[in-house]
Amino acid sequence: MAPLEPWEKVIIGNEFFTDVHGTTTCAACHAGDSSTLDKEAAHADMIAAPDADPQRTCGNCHSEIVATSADSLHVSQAGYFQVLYSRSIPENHVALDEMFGNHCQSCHTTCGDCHIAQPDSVGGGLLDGHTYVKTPPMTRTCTACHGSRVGNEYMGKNEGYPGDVHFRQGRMNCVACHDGASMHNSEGNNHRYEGEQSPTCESCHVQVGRAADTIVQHQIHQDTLSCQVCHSITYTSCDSCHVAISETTGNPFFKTSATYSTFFIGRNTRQSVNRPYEYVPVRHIPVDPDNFDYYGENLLPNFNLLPNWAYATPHNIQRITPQNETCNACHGNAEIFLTADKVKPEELEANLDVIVENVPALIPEQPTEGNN
Amino acid sequence: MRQLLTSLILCLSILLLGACTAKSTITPTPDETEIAVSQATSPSVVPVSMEPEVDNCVVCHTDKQMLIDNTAIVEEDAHGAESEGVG
Repeated sequence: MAPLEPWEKVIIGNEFFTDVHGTTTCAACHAGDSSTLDKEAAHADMIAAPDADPQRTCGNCHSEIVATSADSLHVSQAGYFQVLYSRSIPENHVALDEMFGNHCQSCHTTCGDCHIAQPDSVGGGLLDGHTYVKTPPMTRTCTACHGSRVGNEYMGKNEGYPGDVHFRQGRMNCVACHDGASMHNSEGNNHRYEGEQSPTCESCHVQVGRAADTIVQHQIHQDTLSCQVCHSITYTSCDSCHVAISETTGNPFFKTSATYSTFFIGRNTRQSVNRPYEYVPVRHIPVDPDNFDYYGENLLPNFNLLPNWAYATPHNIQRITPQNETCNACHGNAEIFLTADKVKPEELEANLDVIVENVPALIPEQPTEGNN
Repeated sequence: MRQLLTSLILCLSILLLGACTAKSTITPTPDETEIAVSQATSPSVVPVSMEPEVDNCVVCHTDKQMLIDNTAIVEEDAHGAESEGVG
């Protein structure tokens, strides 16, 4: 998406003044000095993002949403801290927090990052002339942050691979599955793969795995394989995202060493009553022991406590996939399993629990009527 | 004597009627002007300017040309022009 011109980012449309949010003065939310046309004076002490303190602004009317969204993963980004701190030690948290603030915080989400403006990570700018957008537009908000993996997979932007069937045929946008309630409330979970699955495929496909399900593979595999094992296709993996501050501009930047297409089935290291699967797709995430060396030496001393071939839910679902065409497209097909030979030697220890040691055996050819 | 009594009654009647008429004409009836004055001088009302206050935030942020003139400087890329690879 082309970036907005500077003036486009801040122009207010007439529709805003017919909205209930447009009936108050600008200064009531943004402070500043509305009595002058001098730009510098008008913007002195201005609050660009009043929703940084949502209790004072949005919470006046939307108190229930504001109360729960403070702990939602989009706002707290607790999932990132969980994995960063798990690989580190408390003495390193200050340095990691500084790193996070410089390089990751721009994905921190306020109410306005979805409902008023584009997120900072894509340069910001009002979505619709300051009019409040109840349903965030997918490509300007959701995939503005979740673009390089989820967005590209879902919309079929990875060359040679079709988009998700829910997008291609259903034209479903993100909120069709990820509704407002789940976005505003993470139910106390500190990682997206903690707690009850929300959404689940079965929310719509209610017959899957039940007595009336005529697809025998669902009956056989329902608690052993996540849906994506059979129904997702090749997705993106990345290596080694190093971060630093530019010596010339003083701006933060990152460098990932490689981006490539993968499809590997690994063992589920997040097995729970809500995710009982033995096997899940795994994606290589771009974390290395020295990712954050700019901020200090050995900031991830417990790197090996978590795998960097991580549980994944690729958003490129297809009914028929290469691995589900026949039983033996998967059974006995070592190419699609994350076996030790596919893991870098220096990452073997971190991924021991993910690596598949014994690929499921070939299924003997079933005699058909014609062969009898 | 009868004429004198008739004249006296007539005079009293005229006086009574006159008195009633005079009283009704001086009963104060507040008109719109008086109400307006009364309200305008009420000490509980804060005096306001006759001209509506202009919100210059709106003046500028609804004027495309004014915004172009004031945001012409290319913004610094705060998100890392030096970045490489998929974010």
